[in-house]
Amino acid sequence: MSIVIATAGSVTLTGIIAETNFAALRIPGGTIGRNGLVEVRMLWAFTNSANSKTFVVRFASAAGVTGFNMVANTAQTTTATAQGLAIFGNNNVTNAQVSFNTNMFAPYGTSASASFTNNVDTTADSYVNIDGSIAGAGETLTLTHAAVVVFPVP
Amino acid sequence: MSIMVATQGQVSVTGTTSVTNVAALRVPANSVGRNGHVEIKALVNFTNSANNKVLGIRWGTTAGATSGAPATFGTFNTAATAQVLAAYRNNNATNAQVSYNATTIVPFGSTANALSAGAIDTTVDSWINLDLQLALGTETIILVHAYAVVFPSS
Repeated sequence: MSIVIATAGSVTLTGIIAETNFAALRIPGGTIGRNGLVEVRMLWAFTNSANSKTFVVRFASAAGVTGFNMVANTAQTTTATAQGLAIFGNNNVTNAQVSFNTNMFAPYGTSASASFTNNVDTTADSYVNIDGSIAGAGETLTLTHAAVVVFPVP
Repeated sequence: MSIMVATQGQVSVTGTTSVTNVAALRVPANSVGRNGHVEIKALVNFTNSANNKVLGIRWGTTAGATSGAPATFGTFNTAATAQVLAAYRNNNATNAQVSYNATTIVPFGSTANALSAGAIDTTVDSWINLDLQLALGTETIILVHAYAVVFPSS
């Protein structure tokens, strides 16, 4: 059985270049389990330009987190829309997570980078924070839709 | 809780260059919700040649439809098998969809294309139609297996 937590309507960033939280999707305490998995599925739209747009997923014990607890991170320039997937799982304990360290727009493959790790206590409520930033303040970055799907495993 | 609908046995198309429906996976009325999404994964075999072979995945109000939106496509030629993924998301309404508008062979990534939109009423039964088409009628394309998973969200 899976648990789905989704955004309700799109969110657009414009006018500021600082990393901004678009969505904080709450995972109820105790739902993931020691070996459960979380998929974060995202659909984005943004200004097609040479300026960088950055897409970030962070997993934390608080809603609205920016700047730490990375799960996935990438940037785009001269395209207009994107579909991303970030996957992380508890690593045989309820307070240690691991995820593939690469571009959320290429979630399967190989990487020379070490995996991302986090230490969020999932016996309490936790949050998948979807963040982004724009290099050109006059441009836009929109999270059109996102859904977190939890696949619990004890 | 997610809902899964799958094909039962493979279906082959040969001898025609018309678009042919080979599967219609029913999405039960009201199962998606305003912010839910549907993922479709399919495995296909086909003649390895320079001629195009196409798998279209359409969400429609009728079973067996070979036209209409939202739709996404995978076009295959000099290979023999493929595995594809399509995702359709209700966009904060039960009768409005949005989806990534690029080949289903590379379901995650970015593109210069705008997102695709649909207007399927999901408060009644709807269907994920899988359609095949050959450019050369003497060749073959086979839908080996496909399944749709509904991830509801209100």
